[in-house]
Parts: sequence; structure tokens; C-alpha cells
Amino acid sequence: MVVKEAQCEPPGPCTRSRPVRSQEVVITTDDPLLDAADATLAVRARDGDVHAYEVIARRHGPLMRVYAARLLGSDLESDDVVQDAFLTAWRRLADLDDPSRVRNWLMRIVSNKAVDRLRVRRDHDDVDRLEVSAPRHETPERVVEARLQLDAMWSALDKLPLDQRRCWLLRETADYSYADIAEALDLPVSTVRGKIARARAFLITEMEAWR
Amino acid sequence: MSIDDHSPLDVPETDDTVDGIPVDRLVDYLDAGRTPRDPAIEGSAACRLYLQSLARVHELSRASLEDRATREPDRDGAWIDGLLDSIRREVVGGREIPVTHPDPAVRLSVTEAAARGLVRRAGDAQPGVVLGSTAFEGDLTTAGADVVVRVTAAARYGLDLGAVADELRTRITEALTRHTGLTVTRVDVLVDDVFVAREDDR
Amino acid sequence: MSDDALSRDLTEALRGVGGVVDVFDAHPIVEGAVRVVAAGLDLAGSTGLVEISRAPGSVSVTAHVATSLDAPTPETLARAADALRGGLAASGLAGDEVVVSVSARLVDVPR
Repeated sequence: MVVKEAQCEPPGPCTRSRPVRSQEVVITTDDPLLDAADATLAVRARDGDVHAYEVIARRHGPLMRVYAARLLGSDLESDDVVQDAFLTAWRRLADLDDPSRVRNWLMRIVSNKAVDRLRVRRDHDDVDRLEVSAPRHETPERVVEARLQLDAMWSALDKLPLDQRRCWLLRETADYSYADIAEALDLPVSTVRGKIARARAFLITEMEAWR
Repeated sequence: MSIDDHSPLDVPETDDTVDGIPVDRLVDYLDAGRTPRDPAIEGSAACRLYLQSLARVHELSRASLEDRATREPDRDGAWIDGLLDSIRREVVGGREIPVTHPDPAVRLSVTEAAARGLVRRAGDAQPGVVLGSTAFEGDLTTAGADVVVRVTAAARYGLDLGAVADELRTRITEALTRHTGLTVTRVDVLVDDVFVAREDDR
Repeated sequence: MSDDALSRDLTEALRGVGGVVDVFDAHPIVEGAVRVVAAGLDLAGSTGLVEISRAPGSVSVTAHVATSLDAPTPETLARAADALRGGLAASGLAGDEVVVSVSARLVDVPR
């Protein structure tokens, strides 16, 4: 049995699937898959276990959604992109060589889907929508330095121009090669290098304040 | 808000150096895990400092996304319900395992997918075990055929793996015999993962 | 009685069989959209999940079900086949030309 501390984000009711009381410890349900390793879940899903895939989707979906929103520049299409990614991934589970790397594999797929969206926008001459900043969540817990650093990095990523941020995230989070990024975003490789160099320099400077 | 970057100088800043060493080289060095050791880089305090900042930025970049993801409330379970519905409709049954019946005009069967589900369920029901992959060898499409079952599983640390495997074999054989009529001649069990039991006071 | 109405009756009959936990759509996927549209025009409502397919001189009836872990699936399937035959006989379809197929897609705890 797992004992975990969990909190509600105020204000309003908790939307987590497990019942939670603020500031108290809760015992998770008796589902052995909830704590199973990614590799176990992936092989079961590959063999047809839909529930195992559900656990994977709940576990990694939030990160994929946040990441897709950062790539696309807004929350608007990120849900679609993530859902599409999960559908495609389900069909391609047999191709996953190393089940333990399912998360990176999913990040790759959602990157490709997001990039496809960007391509569609570009082909239709859609101007990148004015970016909507993700809402800042104020937590009631006392401020911790580690949390401040993460928030600072989040804001720093926010401040990057969209192209620089895309190049940076595709490289950092999805391990795209420069050539991959160039192809995905329809930019020359030298431009991609330049944008990543600028993004890097900016982020290092921003985070200097936190040393 | 952020606007798109249309700087006219879209070229790498090749004059960016730290202690005379180009930044690109430092980036590649860090990506390579700082091996093989480069004395020129490691001998420069400024370079080491830069590598440290760079590593931190890499780490924080990922961590900030992960952190944000865990703090976002599970907005609406609806997205996942729709996804799972679509997926369930796509689950392929696989081969049909025939079940004997005296009347030739009656054809009964259990799908391979159902049989795999049975094996997973049998494994999960065993304390300290979480089933991994399931495979069948043999001609499933002949009623009462001989079949070999191969499974992988994760087991709780501390259990006698031989005993675990034996019990798992029994459970799987019983489940398949009861529900499919297959003749299970062998169950190969590979415990390829071990997990630690949780403590209440963690 | 139309085949669609018969299919609905047989579906209901299956739900009443001991050990049958759920009934799935046995129709091939391609037909699905067409049937749903047809059903929309049918005042009686939901479509039947049992597939009835006719060829000259024979009828084949196919059902996909979920069976309970509580009872041996072969016995449950046999009961399901009996229920289908009973339903078919009631609507005048019996004899050598009828083939009944029941497939368990899932074996699960009863809800």
C-alpha cells in the first residue's frame, strides 16, 4: 500500500480522481498497476491491456500536455495533440523496442504531432496566435527555494521568443537532432543552431540570479 | 507577451567563447558526459563554471515542465474516457480459440485477447506479483490444443522467486483450463523486474 | 419480424443468460455506421448487437460476449448458444440451416 501526501489546488473542489483531503495522507486504491513500472505497463498495453494504457496515459499525459502547449504557444490545441498522440501510440506499441523508454517515445510522438500542427498553420499562413501565458498556480504551502527555481525557469521559458523556445524544447525534451528540428520547423540548420545558442545564453543568464 | 523572433542575424554566435574555448565545443562536451576528459576544458575554472550552469539549465528546463505538469489539476477526465473508448473499439481479438460443443451447428470460442486477459488477471491476483507480457505458443485454433504459455512478471523483493513462479504456473494453468479448454503443457515464467514493498511510514 | 428486431430480441435474451456479463457488437465495423443511421430511423431505438447473416439456404447468427470469471466460460457460452437457439426458434428459425456462433471477447468479474 502506498501512503502519499496530496493537496487540493485552491480554490474549489479537487478534481483528482482519488478522493483527497487537504494536508492529510491518503492511501491509494488497491490497483497494483498504479505503481507498476513503465516497462510493465507498456508490455501489457502492447498485449492489449487497455487499463494498463490508461495508467500510462494518466501518468504521462499531463507532462505531454504542458509540453505540447509550450511548443504550440497556447493551450488551445494541446489537448487534441495529446489525444492524437496517444491514439497513434496505441497502434504502434508493437514497434516500441525498449518498453522502459515508453515516456521518451511518447514525448517523441507528441512532438511530431505538435510539429504537424505547426506545419498546417504555416501552410495556411496562420499567424502564431498571441501566446497565452499558463496561469500561475499559487500554492498555500510555504515557499521553498527549489520551487522558486522551477517557477523562475518556467517564466524564463515563457519569455523566449516562440521559435527559440520551440527549437530549445525539441532539442532538450524530445532529443531532436538539429537536422530534425530544421526539417520540422522548416528552417535552415544554421538558423536552428543560432536560435538554440541564443535560447541557451538567455536561460543561463536568467538562472544566474538563482545561484 | 512573446513575439516571434525575426532577428536579422540568424547565424550562430561564433564569437561566443569561454576562456577561449567555443561554447559549441563546451555544449558537445557536456552532451558527451564530459568524457573523455578534456584537460583544456577541465583546467579552466570559467569553463567548469559554464558547464555547471549549462547542466543546471538543461535539468531545470525539463524539471520545470514536469513540475508544472504535476501541479496542473486533472482538468477533465473526459479526454481520457474518449480516448479509451476509441481504443477499446480497436482492440483486436486475435485468434479464436475454439471451445468444443457436441452440436456441430454451434461454434463456441474464446479470443486470444480474452485468454491473455485471463493470464494477466491470474498473475495480478497473486500477492506480490504484477504480470508483464503474455505469449502463447502452439496451435490455438485447434480445440483442446497443447499450448505453451510464456510470461514475464515483476515480483516483490524478498519473495522466493522459485515459489512465486510455481504458484504463478498453477494459477495460470487453472485459469486457462477453466475458461478456454486449452491444454497447457508448460508455463515459462521470467521474473524480469523486482519492486520494493512500500512502507507505511515512508 | 425484421432481422434488426430479431437481433435486438436475441441481444436481450443474451443479457439474461447466467454468466454473460456484457454483450458486444458482433457486426463488422464497416457496417456499423450504416446500421446506426438505419436505427435512427427505427422508432424502437437501439440496434441489436447480434449479427444475423443470411445466405441461400442458411442463416448464421454470431454473438460476442463478455463472460464471468465465476463460472467456466465453456458452460456459459453453451448456455448463450441455447438462448440464441431458443430465440431463433421462437421466431420460426430452426433446423439444420442455422449456425450459431458465440465468442467470448473478455472474461471478467461481474459488474
